Amino acid sequence: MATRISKKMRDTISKARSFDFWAWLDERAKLSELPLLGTPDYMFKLGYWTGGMTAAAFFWQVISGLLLLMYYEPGSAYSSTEYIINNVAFGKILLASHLYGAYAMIFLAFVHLFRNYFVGAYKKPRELQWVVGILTGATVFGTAFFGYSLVGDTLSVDGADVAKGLLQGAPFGSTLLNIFFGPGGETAQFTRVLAWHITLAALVALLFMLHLGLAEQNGIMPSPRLFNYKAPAEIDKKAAPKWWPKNFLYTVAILFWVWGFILIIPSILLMLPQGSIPILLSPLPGPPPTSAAAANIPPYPLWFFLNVYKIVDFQLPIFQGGSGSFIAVTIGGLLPLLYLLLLPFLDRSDKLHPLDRIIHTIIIIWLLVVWLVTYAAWGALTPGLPIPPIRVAEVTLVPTAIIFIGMAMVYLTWRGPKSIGPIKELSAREITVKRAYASLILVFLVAFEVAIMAVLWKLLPYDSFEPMIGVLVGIGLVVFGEIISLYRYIAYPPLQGRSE
Amino acid sequence: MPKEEKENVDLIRRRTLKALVALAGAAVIMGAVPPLVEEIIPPITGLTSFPTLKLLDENGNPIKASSIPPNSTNLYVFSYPLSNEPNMLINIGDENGNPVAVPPTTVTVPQTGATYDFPGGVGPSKSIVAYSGICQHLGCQAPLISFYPNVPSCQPAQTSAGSLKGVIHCLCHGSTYDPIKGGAVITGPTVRPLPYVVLRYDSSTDELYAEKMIGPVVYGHPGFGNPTPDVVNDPMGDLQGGSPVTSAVVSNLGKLSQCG
Repeated sequence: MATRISKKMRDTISKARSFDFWAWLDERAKLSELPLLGTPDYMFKLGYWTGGMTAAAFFWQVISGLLLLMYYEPGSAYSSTEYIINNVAFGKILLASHLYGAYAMIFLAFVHLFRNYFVGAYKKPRELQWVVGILTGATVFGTAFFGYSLVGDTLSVDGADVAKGLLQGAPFGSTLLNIFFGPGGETAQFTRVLAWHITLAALVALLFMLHLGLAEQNGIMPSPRLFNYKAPAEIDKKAAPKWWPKNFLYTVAILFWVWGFILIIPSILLMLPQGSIPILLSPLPGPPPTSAAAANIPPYPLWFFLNVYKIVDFQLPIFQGGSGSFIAVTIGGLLPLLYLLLLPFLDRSDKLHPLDRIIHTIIIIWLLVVWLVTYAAWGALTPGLPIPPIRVAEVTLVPTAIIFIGMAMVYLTWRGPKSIGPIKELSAREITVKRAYASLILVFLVAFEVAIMAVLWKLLPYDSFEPMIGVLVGIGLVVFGEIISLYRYIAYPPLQGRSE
Repeated sequence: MPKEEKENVDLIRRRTLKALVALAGAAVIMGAVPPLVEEIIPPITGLTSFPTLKLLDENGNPIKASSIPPNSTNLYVFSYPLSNEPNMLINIGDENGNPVAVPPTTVTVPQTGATYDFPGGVGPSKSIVAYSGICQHLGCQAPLISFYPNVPSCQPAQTSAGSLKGVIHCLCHGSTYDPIKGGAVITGPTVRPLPYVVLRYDSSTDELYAEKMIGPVVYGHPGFGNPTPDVVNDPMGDLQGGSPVTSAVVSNLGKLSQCG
């Protein structure tokens, strides 16, 4: 009897010891059978994950936005924003991180866009994916505009007023004005702007799912080198590695990294003395439009609208007259958008090397350097200042000429893409050494993580340390992302590392 | 190393690794969740003391006490001190429509035996009173709880103590209160009297002011279920759990259904 019980106990213990939670979960949730593609080892670099980082920022926006929705009242836009900042626990960080999360998302989306131009990821079979991506980006801009208009401070009200003015110059202007900003009155406007903000954010989510779905269908764009810079570049889906758990782990790591930085950056800005941050990058709203201080605020738009904002100041003949501003926005904003949208159909060659697509590469570099960066910097330096045509020509043509001549010289001396062959891989020995280092760092980081948690609990109850807590939690998230990433490397090393 | 032993070492290593990652994960959750929870809990808004507010009509003009008809068949409600604390304004009258003076008295709370002093009615005839419009039993609000005027055109309240007029009665579960005796309980199921708004009458201007509350805490506000002697004499819970009103506007919610 006693032996039977002890045998049973031994069995139970050994069963419990060999219990693998993830295997248990996978057997039930079939995570390894999700229609998600794994990626080869060489793709575990941030350059291949720019889309994932953008999506991570988007998820932060959804969560922080829903939390803000619990407190925001369109009927008293500015005072409820102030209430979030002054009364809600961690409201200041929440609001600032929603703003900086949007900044991060838009910045990362631009990185994603330009990166994918240079690797040629818009070519066959990924044309639709590119088009959906551009549409997502445009929707993100709309979402950002409406979100910014919700705050009710001077800049936000100015921005909404400018948009209303522009719409009036557009065909069916007054109808569009009613659709987007309501029939008049502050409450009607803020209610509608809130509805549009959420509606467009939901549309971003839908488009993102379509974009991701297409990415999974076509597979992640492999290194063009492996295909001698010729489209179509597709990985063999049947031979692709499993998504679970390597890609899952890296996705989680990326999520925590991005979230961590979205928390850390505005929290640090909140700790700086007020007034030391330029208003363009201020993490908190400015004074209300009816206050005396409002007169001293330069009329800035959101930073990612600065370039188009500057183009409206160009005193070109076609930008004059009643609809002039609308024409300026159409040429300065919608034309580049249209070009990007149509790019896969304008450039239908199978060339993947950017120098093999020299015309479009020049256009893209021009868009990046002149349209995006130069005009935006100009807008930041001379807000609202009209620019005579001769200055427009100077500022535009000099960098344009440099880009054109420079690229022409590079192109003329270029001897075509080199075929480098397969990607250099680490030896089993190198991988073993890297894994050993990774284990050491992991142990150290776990200790660090626990220390951060201890400090956080020591600070309880939080009173005046809110930005400090934002920084600590942010660091905690980044460190945890790194721990996950190290764990992935140690537990699932590149194939050569698995000695057996 | 024999293969089996090597596998064992690998297993231990893998388990240690997983345990470390789980530890870090727990640390992240324990660090990040408390601030998140705190963020979701809305900040407590409220007051630290009872404000004195002049009773105004819906146009913002002061209400004249002598213009409030006795035994009105309409329901008059104002929120005080928080916007989610409605109170009924009543001018008590007799069958002939003459005002009835409401004398000061001592009110006993059946639930705890605590007592408090009811200051009596105000106004030119000392007949104007104001009681919480939220029943102390389970929180039904006016017009479900309302005054049954002592006039022939109105139906009496059907209470467990018979048909009564001149009482405050709640239709939800039948609680009945006596507005002439400081809101004292006439019939259950309530075990607490109706909270009272202490009014002040300025005879030089004929205007009314809400000054504070007395009696149990208004239903649903902090401490309402525990009417200790301290609480019923100074119901500070009335000041918490809502947003303060900036003015006491008396709304006419129309004819009482028992009088229609």
